[in-house]
Amino acid sequence: MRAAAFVTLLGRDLRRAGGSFVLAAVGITVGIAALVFFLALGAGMRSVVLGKIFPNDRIEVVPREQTVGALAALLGARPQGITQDNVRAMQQTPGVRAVLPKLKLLFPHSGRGGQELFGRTIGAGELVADGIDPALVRAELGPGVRFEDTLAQSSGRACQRHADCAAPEKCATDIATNGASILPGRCELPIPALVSPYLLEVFDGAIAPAHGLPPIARALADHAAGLELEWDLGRAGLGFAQRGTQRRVYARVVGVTPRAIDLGITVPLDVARRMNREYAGESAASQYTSAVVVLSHPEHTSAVGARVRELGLEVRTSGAEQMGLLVTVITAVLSLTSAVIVLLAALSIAHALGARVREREGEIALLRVCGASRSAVFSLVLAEAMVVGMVASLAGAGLARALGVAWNKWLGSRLPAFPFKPDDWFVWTPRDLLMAFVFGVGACALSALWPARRAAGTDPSVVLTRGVF
Amino acid sequence: MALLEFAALKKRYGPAGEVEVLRGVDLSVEQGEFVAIFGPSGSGKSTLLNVAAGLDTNYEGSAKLCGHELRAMTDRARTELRRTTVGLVFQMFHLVPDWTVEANVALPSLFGPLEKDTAERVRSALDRVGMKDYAKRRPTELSGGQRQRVAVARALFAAPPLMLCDEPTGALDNETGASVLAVFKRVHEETKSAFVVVTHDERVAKMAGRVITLGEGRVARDERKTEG
Repeated sequence: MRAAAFVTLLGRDLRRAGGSFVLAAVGITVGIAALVFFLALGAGMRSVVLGKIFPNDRIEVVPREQTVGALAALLGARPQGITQDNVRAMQQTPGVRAVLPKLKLLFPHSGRGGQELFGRTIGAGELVADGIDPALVRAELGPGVRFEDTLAQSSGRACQRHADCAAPEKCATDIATNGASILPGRCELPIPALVSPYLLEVFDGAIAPAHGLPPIARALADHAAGLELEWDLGRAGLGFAQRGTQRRVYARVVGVTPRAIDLGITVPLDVARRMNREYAGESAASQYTSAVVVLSHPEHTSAVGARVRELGLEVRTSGAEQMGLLVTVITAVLSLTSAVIVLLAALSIAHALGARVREREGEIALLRVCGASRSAVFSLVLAEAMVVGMVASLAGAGLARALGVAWNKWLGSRLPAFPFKPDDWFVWTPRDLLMAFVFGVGACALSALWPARRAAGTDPSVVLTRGVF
Repeated sequence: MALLEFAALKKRYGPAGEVEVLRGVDLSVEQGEFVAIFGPSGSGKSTLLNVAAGLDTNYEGSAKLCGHELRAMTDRARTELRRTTVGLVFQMFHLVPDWTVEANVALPSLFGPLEKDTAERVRSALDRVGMKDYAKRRPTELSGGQRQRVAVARALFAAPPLMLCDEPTGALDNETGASVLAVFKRVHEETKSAFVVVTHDERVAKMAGRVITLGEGRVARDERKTEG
């Protein structure tokens, strides 16, 4: 049969069939809409969980847990850390894109600040901080941002107050046991610090609403240098450092980067070393406390993990695998439910087509008499179902997108802010859309096989002698 | 070469083939002949026509159309042979009710190319049966006689060398039947197509050049009229 004629016949048949397919097509549309919706929602959730909350393209490596004797601990002994040799060995492991060694500040310290952003000062009795190699963030921060130990470049001029120092220097001081600054102080440049988008997200989503503070993520992204911190070294809410001079210095946020520590501030490695050396001893300054290993692909996780363990280190589990699996299972269950809806609708199409074939028996016999081969009749019935499937699947995909827009809008305005609350809950991939479309059309084609076979088997010599129309 | 040729043609019906309708028919139809086939009900007249059109291939013996053994052909080849060489007219017209007259007539054009332009063929076929003014109408708007004429036009569409007609006047009143038969006569004269008409209508016998009577599953009588 010629293609143009085939289309003509198909068009005529579908126009006449009209309402008989509508109900079944609505079923397919609803099923495909649900399938596309849940697939996109699942992909969206995976992207938030595995892309932001638990990035699965990186693993955190820590020293293996060691038992340090009570006496040794009293004498200040610490577990073995990650050496520079370990870092080099990990960098040379296949599947590793980068290794970000980190040195935590291993002494008590606390901080306060935020006047510039919030109009009032907020503080943390215990601060967490670590140091990273500035080379790791140089490209990310750009040439105008200095992320290095600024102590050597500071004037060190004596001061009574900040005004005595030339901006951007601040008047850093030693601290008395009662917490008061001991004057005179020294003019020092603020220590550059980085914060993580994770921290901003948690702050904006949970802390800021609880304290009636404005969100800071956007403000910090726009003005990275906007936040200054008064930083007490060797002194915190829970206690004091056993060595070193308690000192009040200043830090200034110079950038927001995922390479920064999740909940705390990150300073240049030399700063962390210098401070650890003073407040926690030489051993705390010479080895890293952890390292983030960035993988070229999540599939290298197992191999790199094995190499890490060979080096006597451990991989800290983040829960990413479990969360990813949970999202996958939920998506699979919802998608399966949608697939069942599509299959039930396809059964309905099979029923409608079967009825159409019985109804059009005489016409089909006439087509056979006038030159339609069995295969042409078979193809015609199959094509009818596939066209219904195509239209319904496209409508379903469109409906899913519309529901997605409505969902985003509704939840955007109804749900309170929380960490990692997405602006868009969905990831619409062409692969998922194509898969759903093929599934919808395929289900309809499958449902048409029996009616098409029956139509192709119509015997004109029997049917046309009955006077069917 | 005969247009249609049956040799020792047998046809049985029933699950075990217990009902033998045709018991050895030997018959050939040449180009341009007008053959009327008579016989009592159940004598196998319609069965003979179905076999001739390649619609029923479950037979014994031989049935050849334009030299092709129908049973030996694939469905696709047999369908194409039928489309280009046979025009079929049934007692019950069998027009698609919601298609226009011209769409009904042009139906065979959907399944493969034909030499002339489709519109020209439709015009010509409708003109031959006197229905050219009804091209845009639908079958439901026509009388029984008009519908049968449209069915004849559809059969003529591919300009087939063989027209097979099964009780074409069976559903028509006397007068309408006569007008349809007049169309047959005129078309036969103009196209020189062979007509094989299965009928109970004595008027067909009068206009046919050859009258065959089936009895007990065989050709009981084969009578050719002499010219003039």
